[in-house]
Amino acid sequence: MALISAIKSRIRQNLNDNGVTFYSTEDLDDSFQDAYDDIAFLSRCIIKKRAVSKQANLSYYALADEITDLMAPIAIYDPAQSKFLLDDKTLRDFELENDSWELRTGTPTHWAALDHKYTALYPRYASVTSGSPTDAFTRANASDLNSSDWTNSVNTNGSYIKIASNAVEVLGQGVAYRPDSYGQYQRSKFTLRQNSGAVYVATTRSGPMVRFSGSYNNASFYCIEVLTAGATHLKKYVNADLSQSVTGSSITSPHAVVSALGDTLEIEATGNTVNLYRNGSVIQTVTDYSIGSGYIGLATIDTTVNDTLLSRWDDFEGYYTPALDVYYWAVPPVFADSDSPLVATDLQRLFDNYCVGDLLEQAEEYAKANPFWKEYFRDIDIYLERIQRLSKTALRSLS
Amino acid sequence: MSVWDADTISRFAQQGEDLFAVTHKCIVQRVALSIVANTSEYTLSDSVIDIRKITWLGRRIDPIPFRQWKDDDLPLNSTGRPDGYIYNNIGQQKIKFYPTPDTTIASTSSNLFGSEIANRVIVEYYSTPDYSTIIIPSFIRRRLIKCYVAKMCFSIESKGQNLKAARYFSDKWDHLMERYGQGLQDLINKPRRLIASSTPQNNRIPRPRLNPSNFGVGVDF
Repeated sequence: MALISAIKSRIRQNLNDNGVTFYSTEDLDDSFQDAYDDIAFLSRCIIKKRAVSKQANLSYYALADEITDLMAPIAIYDPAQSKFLLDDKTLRDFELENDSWELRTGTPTHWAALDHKYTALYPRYASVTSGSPTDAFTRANASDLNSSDWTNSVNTNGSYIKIASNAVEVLGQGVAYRPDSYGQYQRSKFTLRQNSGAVYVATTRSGPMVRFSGSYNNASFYCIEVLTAGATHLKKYVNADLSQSVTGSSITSPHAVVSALGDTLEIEATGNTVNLYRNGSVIQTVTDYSIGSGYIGLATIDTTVNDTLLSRWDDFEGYYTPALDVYYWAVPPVFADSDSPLVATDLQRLFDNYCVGDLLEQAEEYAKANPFWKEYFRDIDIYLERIQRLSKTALRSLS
Repeated sequence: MSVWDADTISRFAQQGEDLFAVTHKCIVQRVALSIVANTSEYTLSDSVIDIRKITWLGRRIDPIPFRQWKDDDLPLNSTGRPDGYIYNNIGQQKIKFYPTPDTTIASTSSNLFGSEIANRVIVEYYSTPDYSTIIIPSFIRRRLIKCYVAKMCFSIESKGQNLKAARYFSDKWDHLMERYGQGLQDLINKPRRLIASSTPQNNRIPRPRLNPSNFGVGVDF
């Protein structure tokens, strides 16, 4: 798959602009981003999924406010019903059935879009029950969390997250999560009971996590990490193998206030915001769009296999709001030269044709620009037809 | 330095956005009217292009057909819960309810897409943009408006006038208006039918039925 830098280089070649630099870098970058936006809109080639919290008495969800790169929803899945909502009706159909359809309550069976911002669910939820799981870990010692409420995903080298002395002891890489906590709005809180000093180094970290998905060797989540001497900060891991020498992306700098034994540390994810609470007060807030949903629990990243105590945690308190999964057509990201574009390899000439046409047009070379536009729009139609066929097949296989 | 000043470019950018919003009716807004008992006529904002729907305490009320209005078949002097309205047939941005409302219902600006539907008189309308927060979809906006601005700037009397360029951008604007408008129509208004088209017919929402008893005397054959 070609990098964007290579495509841009081809565009300059097509314009015989290599070395001459008639078109500035800014001109080319603007044109490339326009091309990316245009291709994504006309072909609908970028498909993503994001969880959106269910809300009581809400007929229309402002999905565009919650999903910043939303172009339009494709399908909506309800994990509680284990099925997709039906998508063969318009708002007009809802109105034909019932003059007061917006007030009808129940479990949603259908959805329809109102405009690019709002999407209706029919009927609407009369109430939504949130979950508030707790665990004081007051039970017999065990090699895992010893409860059907928890699922462990740890390396097979040992009992890395276990019950000992009525608390959670962490000895190695892995996660423990609540399988009933799937959602987008989540909180996960633990009390720090033991910090083994030297083990809190760059390769060994643990703390409460939210929006976990995957397994210990392919995990995505946001978490709190307590570093050496207690410096506390937020991190995210995307498709990370926690048994390897992984480096999570720091989404804030370590906070100046250190955590001490007995502190409660809580991570909260709501929409695109992740908050870190220490003893009930927010000490860090970041905006991040990378991970939209998952489960709550505790995570440990450890590249060593030493079976020694790394940390102890106690008094778990969680919170989550049930969510719907929205599959949607997305707008493209702001590109970087080192990225590969989210467009099929065999149709990346779309960028070449758009940018050459666009830049020639800016130089008032209209006759020269026209053939490139013609090629561009022909390819867009081919690509759209391909994507529509694949979307239908893919979603039907899931439904 | 640009041949055209910032005001000119901004004016054309706004015109282009207005044109797309009016042609394709792609911005939907809601407002809750402040209803006063025994007052039938209200003024809507200038940003209203057309009314999409009105709900009275959650129940839809319909526009009154012109024929009925013309035939003087309206409950002009009666009061009660309105079941119809006339918009713009009686003056710019005016809306009149029939029968005249007999209750006062306060306005609000929050939760109009949710919990307040049952408590308010809500007008859902196609809106013009305000160019900052109420805008046409951002994923088409820049490229579309750029094209209109180029078309108009090359057209007007100025040092930058270039009729060949104006014609080129005029054609491109027409093309984008149609293609983006159709694209938006497919994205927003067209049922996906990715899931439901493979489900049995008995999962469909039932259509309303008009029983003979509802519209006349039943006849046994």
